[in-house]
Amino acid sequence: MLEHNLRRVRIWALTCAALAVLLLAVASCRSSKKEEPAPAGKVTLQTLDETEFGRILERYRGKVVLVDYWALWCVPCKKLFPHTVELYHELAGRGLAVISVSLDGLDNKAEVQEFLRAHEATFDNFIASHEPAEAAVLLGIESGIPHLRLFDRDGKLRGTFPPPQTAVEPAEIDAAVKELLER
Amino acid sequence: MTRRSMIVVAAMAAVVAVAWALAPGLAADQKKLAIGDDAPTWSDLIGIDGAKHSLADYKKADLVVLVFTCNHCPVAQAYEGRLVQLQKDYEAKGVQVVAVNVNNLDADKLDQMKIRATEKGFNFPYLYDASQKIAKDYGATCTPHVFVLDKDRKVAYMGRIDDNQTVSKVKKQDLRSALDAILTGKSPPVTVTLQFGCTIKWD
Repeated sequence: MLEHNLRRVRIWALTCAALAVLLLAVASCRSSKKEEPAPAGKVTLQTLDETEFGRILERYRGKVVLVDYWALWCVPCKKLFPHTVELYHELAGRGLAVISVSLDGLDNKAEVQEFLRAHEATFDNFIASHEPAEAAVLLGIESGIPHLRLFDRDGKLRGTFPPPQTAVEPAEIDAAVKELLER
Repeated sequence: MTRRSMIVVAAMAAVVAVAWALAPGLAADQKKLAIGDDAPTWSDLIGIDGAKHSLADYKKADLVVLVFTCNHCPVAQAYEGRLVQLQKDYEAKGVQVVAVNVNNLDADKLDQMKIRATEKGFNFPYLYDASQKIAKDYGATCTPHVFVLDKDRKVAYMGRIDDNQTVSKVKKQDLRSALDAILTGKSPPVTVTLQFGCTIKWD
């Protein structure tokens, strides 16, 4: 009887160990990617040192990255934002990373956070630490906002939206993103 | 692979390469003016006064401060008072502010421009270009975006009005500094700054 129970215990112990190894393997697989995605359902906001943006982008190597520059005062930006969120939810699983950068100035951080939360922006959100005009200079935003940039899996800039002297077309953004994800 | 199929593949690759190069967002064929360029002229732009206006209308002014602006953009709105003050401060020195809107949104159309100008006490012309041609000619990208035209109607400064849309936080009076320099016959220390605001609403 005792022997039977010991055997049972051994089987349980082995099963648990196997499970633990499996979980560890899965976990390490995820964390071997340099940037941990925001935990599902959590909306975060970090202050951005604009001069570090290039280095931050490097962490997303291997993913297609869509950067959405916006501000609370920019009505078309706010209209476009749900589309960015939707795109993220649809394509994150296929390797799309999304970064939002608010150009509202740190004085408006609380309001920015609230907007992001209300829109379930569960990707990586930043707020520029410099005043808007200076942040634009540091980030190289030449045409005002809305402004989006698309980088391929190697970190190369592949598209800016809207293109010069053209209106923003969400469908064009979708097509460009999907095209890069295919590669 | 046959010779023929290799040629076909090479041709297809060439077509793809050309298409890729011309893809939107990569081909930047937008007009960009340089300091010293002749300022693009314009004519027959309807103003809020109901009359048609050309660059030549302002030949009495030494300097023209052309501002691309509009009614609805909060950044442009934040600068309206500053432009009114600028016109007051520099009128006697021969400076003429000329505001232009090229957005065709309902909120920005001529009837709304008249209301806005009255409300905000515009002391300068406010013109409307539904064709958006003047914006394309200047390479204007957002509101507000300014271009200073000197006595010879060459571009002497371009970019932003100052460094902060919140007036209490302004540290650099970029446009005024440029005007002050040009008015004394000097070249401004900074002739180009980066404009920032709402994108122009291209049709």
